[in-house]
Amino acid sequence: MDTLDITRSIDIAAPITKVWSALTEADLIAQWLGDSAELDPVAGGTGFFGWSEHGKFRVRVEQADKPRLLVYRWAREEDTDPVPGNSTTVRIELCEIDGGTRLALVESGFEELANPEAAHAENQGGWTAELGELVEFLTPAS
Amino acid sequence: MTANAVDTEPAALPGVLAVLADETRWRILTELGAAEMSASGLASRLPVSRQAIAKHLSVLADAGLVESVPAGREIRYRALGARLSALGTQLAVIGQQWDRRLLAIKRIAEGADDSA
Repeated sequence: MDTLDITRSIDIAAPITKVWSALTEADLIAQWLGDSAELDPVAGGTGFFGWSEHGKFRVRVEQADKPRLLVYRWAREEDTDPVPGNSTTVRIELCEIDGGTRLALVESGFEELANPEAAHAENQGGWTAELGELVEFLTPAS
Repeated sequence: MTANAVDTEPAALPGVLAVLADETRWRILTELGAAEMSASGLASRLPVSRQAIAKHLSVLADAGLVESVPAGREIRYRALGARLSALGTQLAVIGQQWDRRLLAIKRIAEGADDSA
């Protein structure tokens, strides 16, 4: 369901190839995601994003079109190969704009995640307002 | 958080998202968010059979998103706020993680080119 996607966009004052490097080179990834990384940024390539405190989370590249498109599936459990049900998909598109590069990101597949929790919550009321906030968050104006 | 920790661990994700990834269940939740209602009441407002609604209500109840309330001879359902509120918070955390990551990517890409 599209409304569960996380969507972000940012303009970067740098050439598209530099942004691509930041997204795909292990030593640069580790500066913005976790603290260690490996990535083979070609379709079918694998790797991981690592947090020294939390472990290594494997990724598999689903699509790569240097320097414009990178799509990978990212496991939510450590040391586990990412497959539907235990992972989300991150799609990053780059395009050249005046003065730099626009990066558009979509993380999707949250609704595929298994292990529904059965915990029952207390009724705290105010539900309608909360739903409104949730929908607003899930579908940010862009 | 240490100075080097640009990023935090992947946020724990609620399975409740799977429950919400269904348009009919969203609509049921929206109706129940406005007013308590019985399964028959919901069936009269949505283009779905009472039987199907009962099934969806059971899924929603298992996920802690609705609860049943006896009202005379019928059973009504009402939406529960805390579960959804927690979900919104968890998704907000994930979104904020990306905000931080993208700013870091921007900083890295715009940084002095010392790779040459």
